[in-house]
Amino acid sequence: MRVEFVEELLQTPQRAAGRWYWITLAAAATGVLGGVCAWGYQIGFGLGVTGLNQPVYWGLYITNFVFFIGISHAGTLISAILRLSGAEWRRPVTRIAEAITVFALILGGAMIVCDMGRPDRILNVLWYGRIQSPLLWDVLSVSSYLFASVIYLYVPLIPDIAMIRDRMTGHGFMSRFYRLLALNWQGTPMQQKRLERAIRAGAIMIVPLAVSVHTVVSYVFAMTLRPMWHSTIFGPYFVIGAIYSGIAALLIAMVIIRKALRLEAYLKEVHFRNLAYLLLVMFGLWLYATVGEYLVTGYGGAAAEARVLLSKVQEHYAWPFWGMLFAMLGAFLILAPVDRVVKALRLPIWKTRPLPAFLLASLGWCIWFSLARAGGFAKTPRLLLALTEYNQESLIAMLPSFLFGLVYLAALLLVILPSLRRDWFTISLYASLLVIVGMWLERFTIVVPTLTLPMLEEVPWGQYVPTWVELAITGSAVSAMLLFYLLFARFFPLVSAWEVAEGIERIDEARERLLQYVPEGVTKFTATHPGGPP
Amino acid sequence: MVRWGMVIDLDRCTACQACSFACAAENNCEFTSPAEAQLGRVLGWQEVIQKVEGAFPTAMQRFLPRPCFHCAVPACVKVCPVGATYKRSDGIVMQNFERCIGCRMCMVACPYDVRVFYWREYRRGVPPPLSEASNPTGPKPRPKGVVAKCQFNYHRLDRLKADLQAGRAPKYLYRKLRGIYEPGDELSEFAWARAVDLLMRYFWDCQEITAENFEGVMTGYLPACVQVCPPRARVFGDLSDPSSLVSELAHSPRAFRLLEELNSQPSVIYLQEEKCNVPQEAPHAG
Repeated sequence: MRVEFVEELLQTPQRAAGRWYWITLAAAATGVLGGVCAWGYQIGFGLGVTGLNQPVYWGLYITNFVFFIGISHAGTLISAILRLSGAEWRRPVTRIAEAITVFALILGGAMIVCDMGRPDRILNVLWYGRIQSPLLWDVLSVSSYLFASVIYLYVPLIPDIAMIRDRMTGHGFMSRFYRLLALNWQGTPMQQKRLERAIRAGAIMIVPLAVSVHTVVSYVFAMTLRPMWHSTIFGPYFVIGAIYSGIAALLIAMVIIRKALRLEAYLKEVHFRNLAYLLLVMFGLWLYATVGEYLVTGYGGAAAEARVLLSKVQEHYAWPFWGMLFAMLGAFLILAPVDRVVKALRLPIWKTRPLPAFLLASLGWCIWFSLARAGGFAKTPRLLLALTEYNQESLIAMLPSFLFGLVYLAALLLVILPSLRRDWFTISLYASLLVIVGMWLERFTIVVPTLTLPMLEEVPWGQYVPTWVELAITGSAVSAMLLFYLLFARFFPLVSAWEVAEGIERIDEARERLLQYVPEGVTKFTATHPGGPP
Repeated sequence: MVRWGMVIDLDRCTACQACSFACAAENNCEFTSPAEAQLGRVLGWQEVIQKVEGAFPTAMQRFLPRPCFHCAVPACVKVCPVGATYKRSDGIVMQNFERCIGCRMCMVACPYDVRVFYWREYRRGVPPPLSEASNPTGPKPRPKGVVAKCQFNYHRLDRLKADLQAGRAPKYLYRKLRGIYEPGDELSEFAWARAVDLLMRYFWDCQEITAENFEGVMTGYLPACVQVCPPRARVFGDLSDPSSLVSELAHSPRAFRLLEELNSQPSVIYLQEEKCNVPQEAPHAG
C-alpha cells in the first residue's frame, strides 16, 4: 500500500505533461512575455507611461507588491505553524503552500523593480543603504524571507528528490539534475535526524521572520504622516491580511492542483474544511482590525482623516472600498453555515441558479455603486440630516451609505447563497476567490485614496487612472505565478511523498500519545450512569 | 551654525509667478506639456498653488508660493533608502540626482508634496540650444526617473562664499564686513551669512533699481526667486542669526508656518495679517 501511493505521488511530475499542461504553459509564458515587453516600454519612455502622477506617486505596482508579499504568507508561515503545532493533516498541504511563498515573494520584489524610476541603480540600495529608511527594512526582511523560504521549500524536498533520483535510469541531464539536488540523501537515520532538526529549526525561525516581513511592509506607509496611513494598527493589520489572503491563495491552488493532477485521494475534504475554518478565523481577525481602523478614525472625525474616509465610503474610491467589504462579507457568509441559520429561522429562500444569481448581484452592485459615486447618500432624509449636522465629514455622515450597503448585501446574499452547493471544495473555492479579490481591493484602498488627498489644503487633489502598461504588468504577474507553478509541478511532486508516508507511520504513535492523556491502565471506558440500571 | 531660511510675505505677494519662472530658468528646469500638467505631472521646484475658498458671492482665491520648506526635521531625508536626499550643515535639504533610485518614498513622506519626479526624458527631441542647460552655473539637467526639488539655490550661496574669498564680491560687502572678515582670512560661516544678510538688506531697502545700485542689488548671490520678486515679498537669510532681516521678519506677529503641528520645523515662514478664512456654509443647509 505504502509503496503504491509513494510511487503515485512521485509520478505527479509526469502527470503534468498532458495537452492542457502545454496549452496553459504557453498561455502563461505569453502573458509573462507581454508583461516584460510592457516593462521594456516603460524603461524606454520612463514612468510617464503609467497613470502615476503628482500627488499619486504610488499606484498599482505598490498595491501589487503589498498583495503579493501578503500572498507569500500562505505558505511558509502556515506550514511552519502547522508543523510546529503538530497538525497531522498538514502533510499533503505544506509543499503547495511553501511553493506559493517563494513565487509570490519573487513577484513582490519584481513589482518594486517595476515601480522604480531608475531600476538600473538598484544596487545603490546595497552600496548606500540607510538602515533608517523603512524601505531598507523591507529590502532586508523580504530578501531574508525569500532566502529562508527557498531553503524551507528545498530541505523537505530532499527525500523526494532522492526517491526520484533512485527511480531514474540512465545518465541524462535530468538524472544528473536530481542527483545534484538530492545532496547524496540515502535516508540513513543520521540524515533523517538532521533533516528533522533542520525543518524544525527552520519552522521556528521563519515564523517571526514572516511576521516581521508584512509588518515592515506596512511601516512603509505607517511611518509617513499621511492621514489613514500613519496608524499604529497597520503592522498587525497587514500581517492579519497577509495570512488571510495567503490561506485563500493556498486553497485556490489546492483546488486547481487536486483537479489537474488528479490528487483527489490525497487532498481530501478534511484538508479543505480545516483550511476553510482557518480562513473563517482570519476573517474574524481581519474584520476586527478593519472595524478598529475605520471606526476609530471616523468617529474622531479629524478633518484630514475624515476627508480620506469620505472618499473611500462615498466618493471616488467607493468601488474598491465597498468591493472589499462586499467580497469579505460574502466570503464569510459562504464559509459560515448561514443557510442553516436561514432555514432554522424559516426565512424565505428564493431558489435560483448560480448564473442568474450572480447576474442579479452584479446588476444590483452597479446600481449601488453609481448611487455611491453620485454622492446620492449625502442627500439623506431629515432625521439623518439632524445627526450629520454636527460634523459634515464624520462617520455619522457616512452612516446612511453604510446602512444601505449592509441591507443590500444581506438581501443579495440571500439570493446567491442557496445556489452554492455546500461541499467544502466549492465553498473554499468561492470564498477564497472572494477573499483574494477583496484583499487586493483592500491594498488598493489603502495605497491610493490617501495619496489623492494631499495634506496641504492648497495642493490640488489627485486622481489616478492606471494605464495599459500597469494593467499589462499586473496581469503578467498573475501569469508569472501560474508559470512558476507549472514549471515547479513539472519537476517536483507537489504533495510531499515522504511526509505523507511518515504520517501513516505516525498513526500508532498518535494512539500512544492520546493514551498519555488518560488515566493509566485504562484501555476501554464503559459509561455507567449513577442510579441507572446496573 | 547657519540655517538658511526664507520669509514669504503673502500680503505683498501678487501671485505673478515670476519666482516660478526665475526658478525654472536658474535651475535648468524642464517644462512639461499641458496634457501632462493636467495629469498633475508638474516639474516646477517652486510653484504658486491656489485654493478657492467659499462660494459665490463671497468666494476668495488664496495663493501660496511654495518652495521646498527645508525642514529642520525633514521627513524625506528620514525615509530615503540610499541617502540621495540629505541635509547640508547649513540646513539646505539637497538631492543627489546621481544616486536617486526613483522609489518616490521621499515624495510620499513629504507632508507638503513639494518634490517633483522626472516622469520621462524631457529634453528628448528638443532642438540643441534648448536641449542643453540654459544656465551653465546652475544644477545639471536631471535624467529621467529621479526625484528633484528646490535647493535654495545652494550654488549661488556657494558662489558668494568663493567670490568673497577671492575678492570678487561687491566692494561694499568688504567694507561692511570689516571686523568680521578681513580679505585673505578664512571665511567663517557667520561672515558668509552676514554677507547674505547685507545683500538682502540692500535689496530690501532700495526703492528702485538704478544704474548706480544695479551692481549692488542684482548680484546673483541671493536665490533667484528672491531676486526677481517684483513686490519683494521674499526675504532670504540666516534664521539662526537673530539680527538678520529674515529673523526679524520671522518673529513678526503675522508669521506662521505650514502644518506646524507635524513638528517638521520648516525654514520657510509665511507672513499674513489674517489667514483668509471665509466662513463656509455647510453645503446641505437651505
